[in-house]
Amino acid sequence: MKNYIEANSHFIIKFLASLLVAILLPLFIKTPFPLHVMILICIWAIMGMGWNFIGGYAGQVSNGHALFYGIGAYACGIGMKNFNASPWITMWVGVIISIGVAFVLGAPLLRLKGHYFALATMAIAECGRIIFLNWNYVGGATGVDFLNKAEPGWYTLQFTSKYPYYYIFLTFVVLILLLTKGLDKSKFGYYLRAIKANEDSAQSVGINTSRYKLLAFMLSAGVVSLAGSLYANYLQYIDPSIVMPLNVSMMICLVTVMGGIGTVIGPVIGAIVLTVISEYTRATFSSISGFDLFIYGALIIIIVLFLPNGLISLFRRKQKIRILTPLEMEERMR
Amino acid sequence: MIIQCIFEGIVIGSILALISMGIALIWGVMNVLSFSQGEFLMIGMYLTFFFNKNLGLDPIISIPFTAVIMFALGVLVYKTLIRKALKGPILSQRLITFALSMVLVNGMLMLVTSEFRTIPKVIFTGTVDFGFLVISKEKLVPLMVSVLVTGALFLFMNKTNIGKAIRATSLNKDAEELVGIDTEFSYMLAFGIASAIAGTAGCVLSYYYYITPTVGTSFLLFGLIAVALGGFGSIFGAYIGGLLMGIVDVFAGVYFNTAFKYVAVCALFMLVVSFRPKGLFGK
Repeated sequence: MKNYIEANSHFIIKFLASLLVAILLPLFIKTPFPLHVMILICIWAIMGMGWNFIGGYAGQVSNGHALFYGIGAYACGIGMKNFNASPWITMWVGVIISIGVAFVLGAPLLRLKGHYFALATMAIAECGRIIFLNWNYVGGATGVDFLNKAEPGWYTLQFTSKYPYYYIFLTFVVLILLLTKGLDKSKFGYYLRAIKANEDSAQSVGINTSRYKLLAFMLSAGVVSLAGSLYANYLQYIDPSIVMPLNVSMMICLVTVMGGIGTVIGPVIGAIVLTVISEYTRATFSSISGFDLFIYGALIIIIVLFLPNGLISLFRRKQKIRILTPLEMEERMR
Repeated sequence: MIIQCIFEGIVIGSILALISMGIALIWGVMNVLSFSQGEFLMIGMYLTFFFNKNLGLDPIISIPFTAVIMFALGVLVYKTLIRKALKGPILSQRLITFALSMVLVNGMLMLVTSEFRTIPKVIFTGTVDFGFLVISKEKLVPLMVSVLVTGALFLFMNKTNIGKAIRATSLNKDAEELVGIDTEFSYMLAFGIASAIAGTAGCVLSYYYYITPTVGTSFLLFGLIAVALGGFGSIFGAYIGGLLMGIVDVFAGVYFNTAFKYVAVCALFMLVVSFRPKGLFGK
C-alpha cells in the first residue's frame, strides 16, 4: 500500500486537487447554465472513459457505442414510465443488458480489424436506432417522456435543482476514473496494450486475445450504458434521435481522442474541452441555424489537426524514447 | 414486379456505387475512412441545382463543370486538411473527415437554408414500358452515367501512367517513392478524383431526388458499408457492393417495410463479414 502511494503520489495529488476544485466550483456558480455544462461534462467524461477501454487501450476503434448509450437511456426511461422502477435499479439492468448485447455482438464483430470493425459497429448502431425508431413499445419516434409520472426525490433520481445531479454524476466519474486508474497498470491493461500494439504477437506470447478483447468490449459497453442512464435521468426525455445517432458514436471517440487516447485522464480533459466548446457555441451562435455547429466542427478540426495525440500532449513533458544498452539495462535491474 | 425491383435497386445502387468507389479509392490509397464523401455528393447536387436555376443548364450538361469544381474542392481539402492529418494517427484522420462533413453540412445550411429543392425541368422525362418492366427515363440517366464514369475510372486506373502510379501508391508507399513517383501527387489526385466522382453522383442524383443539406448522410452510411462489403482497396468490389446494397435496399423496402431497409442492409453486411472478414473481394 505504502509503495503504491509513493509510486503514484503524482497522480494522487493531482487527483485530490482537481476533485476538490470539482466539488467546490458549483458553490460559486449562481446561474444554471454553467452547472448544466458541468453536468454534461460528467456524462461525456464517463462515456469517453468507457469507450477508452476498447478504443484506447485495446485499440479496437468502435464507431457504434451510441447503441449502448441508447440501451442505458431506454432502460431507465422504460423502467420509470412503465414499471415505476427506481433508476438506481434500472441503470444496472441497462448495464447488464448492454454487457449481454456486447457479449453477443462481440464474437462476430471483434474478429474484424481496423476500418472493418469501425464500419461494422457503426452499422449495428444504426440498426439499433432504426429498431428503436419503429418499436412501438418504447415509444417509437416520439420517444419516452417520463417526467410527469415521477415525484422528485432520491428514489426517482429526479430533482428540481441541478446540484444533486452534478454531485451524483461526479461520484460516478470519480469511481470510473479510479477503475480506469486501477486497470491502467494491471495485467488486464497491459494485455490490452499488447493487443493494440500487435495482436498476433500478443497471441503468440499466450494472451487469449479474443477473450480479452471481448472483456474490454463488455466493460466499455457497460460503462457507456451507465452514462446513458444518467443522461436519461437528467433530461427526463429520450428519443432515438437524441441518444442513438451516428453523431453520438463519433463524439464518444472524439472526446477520447481530443483528450488523449489510451490514457487515464485524457477522456476527462477531452470531455471538459469538447463540452465547453459545444455548449457555449450553441448558446452564443444559435440565432443563425447551422452556425453553431459550423464553428464547433471547425474548432474540432483545428484541435485534432494540431494536436493529433490529444490535449494531454500539451501537459506531458517530452519523454525521451531511447533504447537502453544491455549495460544500462543491467544497472536498472539491480 | 421482381424485375422492376431489381431495376430500381440497380439505379439506387449505381449512385451508391459512385460514392463508394470514391471512398474505396481514398481508403486504398491513403488508408483513410472518409466521412466527408456524402457531403461532396450534397455539394455536387447544389452546384447542379444552381447551374440549372441561374444558367438553365440541364444536370447532364452540368456534369463536366460540377466535376471540375468538385475536383478543385477535393484538391483544396487535401492540401489544407488531409495532408497534415495524414501525419497523425488513423483515428484522428477519420474524425477530421467527420468534422469536415459537419462543417460542410452546417455551412450549407447557413447558405441555403434547409428547404427541400428539386430541379423542375430536365431533358429526359417520361417512361418506357416493356410490359414486365417500366423504366422512367429520369432513372435511366444515373444508371448510364454511373456505368460510363466507372468505365472511365477503370481505364484511367489501368491504362494511364498516372492511374498506375496511384495504384502503386496503394500497394507500397515506400517502394513507390524509391522508384521516383511523387506520392504526394498521387494522394492529391486520388482525393480530387474521389470528390469529383461524388460530385458527378450528385449531378445525376438530382435528376430525380430532392436536394437538402443533410441528404448526404444516408448515402454516406450505405456507401461506407458498400465499401466494406466489397473489400479493402478494391474499386471493382466497391462497385459491386454498391449495386448489391441498392438491390437489397429496394427489396427490403418493397417486401417488408421501408424503415427496415437499414436492418436488411446491415444484416447482409454482417452475413458477408462473418464469412469473409475482409469483404467479398478483399485480399
